[in-house]
Order: sequence, then C-alpha cells, then structure tokens
Amino acid sequence: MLNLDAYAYSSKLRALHPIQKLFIAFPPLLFGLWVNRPSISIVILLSMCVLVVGFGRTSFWVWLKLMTLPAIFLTLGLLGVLVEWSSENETFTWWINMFGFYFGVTPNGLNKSFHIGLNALAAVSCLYFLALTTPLGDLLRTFYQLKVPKLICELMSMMYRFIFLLIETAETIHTAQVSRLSNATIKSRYRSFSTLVFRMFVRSHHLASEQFTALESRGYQGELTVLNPTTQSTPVLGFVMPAVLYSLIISVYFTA
Amino acid sequence: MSSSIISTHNLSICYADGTTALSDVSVEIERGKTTAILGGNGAGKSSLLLTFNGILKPSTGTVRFNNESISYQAKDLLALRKQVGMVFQSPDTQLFSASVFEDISFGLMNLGLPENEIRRRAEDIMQKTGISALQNKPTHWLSFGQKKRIAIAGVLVMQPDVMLLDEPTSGLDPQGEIEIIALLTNLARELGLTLIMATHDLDLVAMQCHNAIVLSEGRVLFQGTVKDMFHQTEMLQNAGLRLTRIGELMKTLETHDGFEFQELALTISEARKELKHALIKIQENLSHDE
Repeated sequence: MLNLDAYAYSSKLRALHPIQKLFIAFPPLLFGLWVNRPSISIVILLSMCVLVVGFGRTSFWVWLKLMTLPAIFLTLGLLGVLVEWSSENETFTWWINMFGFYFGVTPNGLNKSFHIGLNALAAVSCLYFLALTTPLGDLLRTFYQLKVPKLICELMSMMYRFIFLLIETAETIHTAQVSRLSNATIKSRYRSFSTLVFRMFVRSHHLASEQFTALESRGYQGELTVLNPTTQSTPVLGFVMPAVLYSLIISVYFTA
Repeated sequence: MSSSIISTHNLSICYADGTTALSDVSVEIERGKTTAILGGNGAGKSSLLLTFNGILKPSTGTVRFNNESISYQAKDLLALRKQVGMVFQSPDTQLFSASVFEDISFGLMNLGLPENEIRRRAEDIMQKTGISALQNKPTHWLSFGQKKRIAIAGVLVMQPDVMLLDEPTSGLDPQGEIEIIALLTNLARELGLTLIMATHDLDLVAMQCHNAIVLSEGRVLFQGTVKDMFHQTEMLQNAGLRLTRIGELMKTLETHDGFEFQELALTISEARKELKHALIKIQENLSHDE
C-alpha cells in the first residue's frame, strides 16, 4: 500500500486530470466484463501495460509483480470452475477416480476458466492503471467535484491520512513486543497480538479526541472545508489516450 | 491599550473525574512578548494553554482577551480562535489532511475568506515558513520537523495575534530545534506576535523568553521575568525545575571555587561575559599583589 502510493506520485501520468484517467480505466473495465472475450481482454491488458509502463514510466517488473498478486486468488477461484465431477468419465480430458466418482477437467471447463481468468486480469489491470497513476488525494478531490456525498469523501480522506499513522503505530508496538520476546511461543504470539489490537483501539480513540481539539482550535464547524492545491489542467494527451484506446477495443471487437 | 493581552482571574478547572487541573490561577500575558509556561509533567501547562483559546471552559473564574471576558458562544469562539492560534505538541494530531496545501487552507476556509485571498495567503505563509517545496508531497512522506513546520504554518496563516505552542521543540533533533525556534522568533518579531509556550526546555526559556509562569500541581508558583525566576532557587526546586546547565556551572564556580560574578549568567554569551570579567579581576588582583 505504501509503495503503491509512491508509484502513483512519481508516475508521469499524474499530470492527467483524474477524470480523464477515470475515462481510461472504467469504460474498458466495464466493456471487457460485459463482452467477456479473450481477444478483448488481451487488448485491454496490453494497453494498460503500455499506458502504465510506457507512458507512466512505472517499472515493468513492478507492474508484473503487482499483477501476480491477485493471481493467487484467481487460481483458487478458477479451480472451482475448472474441476468438475461426474459418475462417467467420457467428457473428461484428464481425470482421477475417487470414491467411485470421476473428478476431472473438460475442454469446456478449461475454455471457460481461461475466459474468466483473462477477463479478471484485464479488469484488475484497469484498476491498477488508476492506482499506479493517481494518488488517492487527487482522486478524492475529484470525488468532491463529482458531488459524491461529503461525509464519504471526508471519511475516505481521514482514513487515507491516518492509515499510515496506524501502520506506524502498529509497527512500533510490534517491535516493542518482539523486543520482549512476545514471539517466543505460539501462545504468547496470540496473546501479544490481542494486546496489540486492543492498544490500537485505545490509541486511535486518544488520537481522535486530540485531533478534534486541534481542529476546533482552527475553527472547525463540523465540515472539513479545504481548498484544492491547484486547479488541475486537462492535457490533450488525456483526450487522445481514451480515444485511441476505445477505437482499438472496438475495432478488435468487430474484426474478431 | 493595556500591556496585557490575555489574563486569567481566579481560574479553576476541574475535570469530570474530579481531578483539579488548575486552581485559582491568576496570570497576565504581556502583549508582544514571549512567555514561557513551566512546570513538571501534569502541572497544568497544557490545560492553561487550552483555556486561552476557549477549548477548555473554566469551572470558576474568567479568562480575558484584550480586557474582555471570553464568551463561549460558537460565533465568538470562532473569532477568538482566529486571534489565538494553537500549535500542538505532535504535528500528527494537528495535520488532518494528506495534502500540505489542503491542511493550510483549512483555517482560512473556516474564516470564510474568498478563494484567491486564501491562495495568496497560503502561498505567502508557505514561503515564510520554508515549506513551499513540500506542498506536492503527501504528509506521510515528511519528517517530524517538516510536519512541525506545516503545523505552524497552518496556524500562522490565520494571522493570529497570539500563538500558543505546546512543547515546540520536543521530538526535534538539535538542528531542527534551532530552525524552529529561529523561525518562530523571527516571525514573532516581524508580525508582532505574542508567543506563549509550554515547555521543559530551560535553555530555550533562558534564550528566547521574556516572561515566565511556573506552575506546580495546578497552582501558580511564580510569575514574572525569566531573569527573576532563575534567581528563586527554592521555588524552582519546588516546581521540579533547575537552572540552565550553564547557570548551574556558574553557580558552582561561585560557591565552590571562589569565583566572583556580578550577575547570574544563564546562557553561553552571558557566561562568557562574566568569565571575562572575573578573569580580568583576578589578573588585576595578581598585579596589585606584586
């Protein structure tokens, strides 16, 4: 999470208006899910890779590593689609016999899980495009502009600000615990983890009340009213990119 | 106008759990000067600061700002807090936004100023406090000292008359300490600010503060100039305080080694002067004997 944030800040595509980036990420995501065709998924996957790595100058290996993260969940999910069971073994390409039943893989199931797998990866790549080019702060400001309810925006921005503080605090407590051999036995590990969680609640509560005092000192009246750092520009590139991307996807859709 | 900008009269604060944070505190803060609030842990320093901008409401007694009793109506409190700003000990409790600019604009937005005025003031204060280069970075990438600067900028931008500082130097490295103090004193002089700081840092008090208030267990033990305070050895001991290290050295030289000084020196420059004097005197005596 910490690193993802850092990549977004150093991306060359940060200069694009967040709304432009939303237009790059979401229509292909929805279209890909709706069409569910491997050719479209591959086009989306490759385009996102080119955009993030080629234009955003994020390292290809970083992108690849991040893409493999959801692969674990995907594999587990696809196993359910891939493996079927039956009392006959005619349709199976590979099978094993267990408890009088046949468990195996059919060409149909293989095809289906290939479709789903590619489709899911393409969808994830769209979201990664957003995550790797747009710092959350920029995105939140856009949500304000798009009239997303204020309460949700404020909650998100507070969470974003304090998640890092929370991680830091948790790490400090954990280090203090380990220095006193909290990880010596399984039992003490469980016990120290529960104290850690408890301490985090107490700290958070304490911090919240202090924060409230600090906000009041600056005239807080129930709303976190702030001003955008800069009025964001809308570079031409931000219009060209979705246009090229859409025409690419549509042409593949009609030719294939 | 009178010389005191904030004063308290027989102020007491009792918390809901029955503990008394402050009892019968009557102090005056001089306009345009830097006042230190000293005392051990739990002496009531922070509580006193929080009464000055109306966060804590006195159980009995009154707080006066510009010779008028503070009103605790929401509208009046807003006006008061514009004039009396507070910088908290930990910048992490104060900075609520991940964006530096957003955090600084918060106070101004609450004052309902027009947008271009806010931008102008924010740019100006970021330049003055030396944080312009940080404004595009998220808060969690910054160091403690940088966050402290932003916290100070977020208060200064409201153009207060008084700045309350809770432990302004705690948690900073020596270099950061010097920078923050230089920043504060320069700005205070330039803008005619009244600074009030709760602190344990006696060197800071000796060098930068004009007046001091010493608290112990919620009561005022001393109120007056810093020079006078350091002369009251017994009172300092009762409050759990001491002289500055330099001051202790000078006192030891005087009592144990027969040096004769004219005044109690507390800082390096004062000590140099006194030591030079004493040396010249010794040399004179020696040549006299011969």
